[in-house]
Amino acid sequence: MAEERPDNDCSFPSTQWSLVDKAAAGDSVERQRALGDLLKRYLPALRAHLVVKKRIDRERAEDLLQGFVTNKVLEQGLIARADPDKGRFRALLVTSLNHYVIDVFRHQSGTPPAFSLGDSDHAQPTGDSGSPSDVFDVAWARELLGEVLLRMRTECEKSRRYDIWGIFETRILGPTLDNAATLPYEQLVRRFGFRSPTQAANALVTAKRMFTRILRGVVGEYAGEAAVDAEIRDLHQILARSSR
Amino acid sequence: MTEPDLHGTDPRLLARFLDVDEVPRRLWPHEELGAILRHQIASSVQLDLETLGSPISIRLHALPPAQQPGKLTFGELFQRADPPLELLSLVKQFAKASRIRGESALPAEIATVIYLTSIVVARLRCGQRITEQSDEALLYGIQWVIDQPWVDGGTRALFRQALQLYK
Repeated sequence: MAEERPDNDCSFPSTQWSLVDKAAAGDSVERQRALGDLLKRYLPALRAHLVVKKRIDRERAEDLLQGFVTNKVLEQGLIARADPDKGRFRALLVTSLNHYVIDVFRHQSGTPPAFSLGDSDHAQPTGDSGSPSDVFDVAWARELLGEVLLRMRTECEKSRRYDIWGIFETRILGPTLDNAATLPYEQLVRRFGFRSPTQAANALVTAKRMFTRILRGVVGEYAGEAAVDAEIRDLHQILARSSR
Repeated sequence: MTEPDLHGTDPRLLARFLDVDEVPRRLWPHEELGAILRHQIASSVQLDLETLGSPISIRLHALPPAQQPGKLTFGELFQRADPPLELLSLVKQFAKASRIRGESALPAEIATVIYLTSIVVARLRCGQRITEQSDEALLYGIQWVIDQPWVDGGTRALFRQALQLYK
C-alpha cells in the first residue's frame, strides 16, 4: 500500500475526445459505442423529465424514450446536429424529446399532451425550490457526478492508488454527501499506509485534482471543451437552488 | 471500495462537488491535531524533507554521511543528545515551508510545533541559535506550545525546559 507516491500526482491520463463528436461522426463501430455510452448515461435524466415533470406514467415514458432513441437519435441523427454554438447539448436533448412526445400524442389521439411545446420551460427554470423544471437538469447532474465518481474510483483501482480514492471517500465524499463521520486520522493512516501527515495531505490534493480533471473530461464529452466552465457553472446553479 | 448512491442525495450537497476546492477541508480537523503530531513525530525526517523538493532536498543530500538522517524519525532527532545542527536547521526550513505551502502540507499548528522544536533543541542540545527571531517572540511561541492540549507530554516537557532558558 505504501508505494511510491509522486507529489501531487497529475500523471493520470486525460480524456480529450468528445463523446458527442464520436457519436456524431467516427466510424460506425465507434459511433455506436459512443452513442450507447451517452444514452446509457443520460437516459435516466430524460426518463425523470417525462415521469416527474411531464407526469407521464413510467411504462408510457419507457415507450416514449424507446421511440425517441429509435426515431430521433438513431434514424434522424439528432446527435450529429448537436452544435455547441447553438446551445447546450442538454437543452437539445430535452427540447427534442418534448417535440417528439408532442408529435406522438398528436398522431395517436389527435390532441397534444398537457404540457407546453416551448423551450422556455427548460431554458428558464422558475428557480423555485424543487421546481419540476429543474428535474431533468438535476437528474442529469446526478448521472454526471455518478459517472465522474465511477471513473475516479476505477482509475484509482487500476493504478492501485487506493489511498487516493480512500482519502477522497472518507474525508470529502462521505462527510459531504451522507454527513458520515470522518474516518479518524489514525485509522486513515493505518488503512492507507500514509507514512507522514505531509503524504496524507498530498494524497488529498491529488484526489481533488483528479476529481476535477475527470469532471471536466466528462462534461467536455458532451458540452465541448470550450463550454466546460459554463456548463459546470450552470449545473452548479441548478443544483444549488434545488432541493430533494 | 464502495460506490456512493447519489440518487437520494440533496442536490445542494451535490452542487458542492462541482466546485470541489470549495468543499470544506476535512483532513485536519482541530480535534485530530494530537494524532497528527504523533504521526509527524514518528515520521521519517528524510522522507518529509525530500517531499518538499529542491532547495531543502539538495541541502539534505549535501550533508556529510554522519549527519544524514537515514531512518531517523523527527522524534528520534529531537531526543538525540547531539543532534546535527544543520539537520535541525533543515527541519526548521521544512516546517516553515510547510506552513506557507497551502493545503498540500502540514496543518499550521503542527508545522509551528516542529519549527519551534527544531529551534529549542538546537539551543538546548547544541547551544546554538538557528533563528533570527527575538527571545521575546520565541518565548511567546514556547508558551503557546505548552498551552496546547493536544501536544504530547514529551514535547511539552522539552518546551518547559526551554522556557527556563528564555525567561
